[in-house]
Amino acid sequence: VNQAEQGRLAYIADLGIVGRAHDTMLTRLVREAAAVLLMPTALVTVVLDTAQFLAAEWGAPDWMAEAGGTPIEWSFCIHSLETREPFVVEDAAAHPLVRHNPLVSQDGVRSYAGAPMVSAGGHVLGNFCVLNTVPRRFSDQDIAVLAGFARVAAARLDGHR
Amino acid sequence: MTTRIETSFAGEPDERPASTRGRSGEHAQPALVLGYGLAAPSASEAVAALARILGEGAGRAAWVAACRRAGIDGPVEPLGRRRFRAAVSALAASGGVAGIVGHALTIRIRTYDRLAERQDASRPRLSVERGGVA
Repeated sequence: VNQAEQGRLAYIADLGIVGRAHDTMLTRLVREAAAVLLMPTALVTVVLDTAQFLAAEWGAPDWMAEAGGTPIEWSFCIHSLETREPFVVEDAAAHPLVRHNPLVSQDGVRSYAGAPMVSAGGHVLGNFCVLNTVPRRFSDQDIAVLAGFARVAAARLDGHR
Repeated sequence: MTTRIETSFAGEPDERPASTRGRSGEHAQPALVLGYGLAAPSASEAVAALARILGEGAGRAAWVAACRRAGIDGPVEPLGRRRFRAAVSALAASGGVAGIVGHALTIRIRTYDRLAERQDASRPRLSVERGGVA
């Protein structure tokens, strides 16, 4: 792991949010995002080393909500970590990066859009994302809306420092 | 909703659902959750994760410290299910980057548990009432 990743994880540790009860403001935000973007599931994920933590969720599968996240190898959000750009999957069954992901093959995820939450310190903490069990086209406007939610969520997470 | 990701330790030495248990007791190789390809996390996975983040020496030291805080006096790898989970809880409570590694492992443990329970619940069972099959 390089120094930048160590710094990112140390920053997340300083936030003191991982393993804690959900922030009610973030929960309101994911619920609103799901409604605005007409998607059944919305998440705030914080990408750790071997897992992603759900800082807030709306409509996640029961097992995922109870586990508080997923193993990192199933994370769609991790694809924004290096690019620092939104990651969009309009049909997961045909997407080369995720078509073999068990969230697709076992839980039926078919579409995803996530925008990175960039901290004040410049670290990508994770993604603000929406998911659906049917394919979905995302417009530029959809992604702009999602990026707006991600900025608000990142500021909220930063507020825990 | 509230998410709690602490682990509980009722039962020794192996409280995995019956269909996912290995055959050789406490140190059995973990079975995979079907369809997900997920194995039960282990002490070697924890040591490797800490080594990737902290370096080999500091990573192992962090694991040994977590084990000692969990009351494990002997060898720290491999560990049985209950002692491994106690060590992961101690690691998660340690704070800093090592604590993040512990929280991530806790999520992996809880994911394994939830999916293994679901797999066990959906397993077909023979009926002694209808077919007379023991």
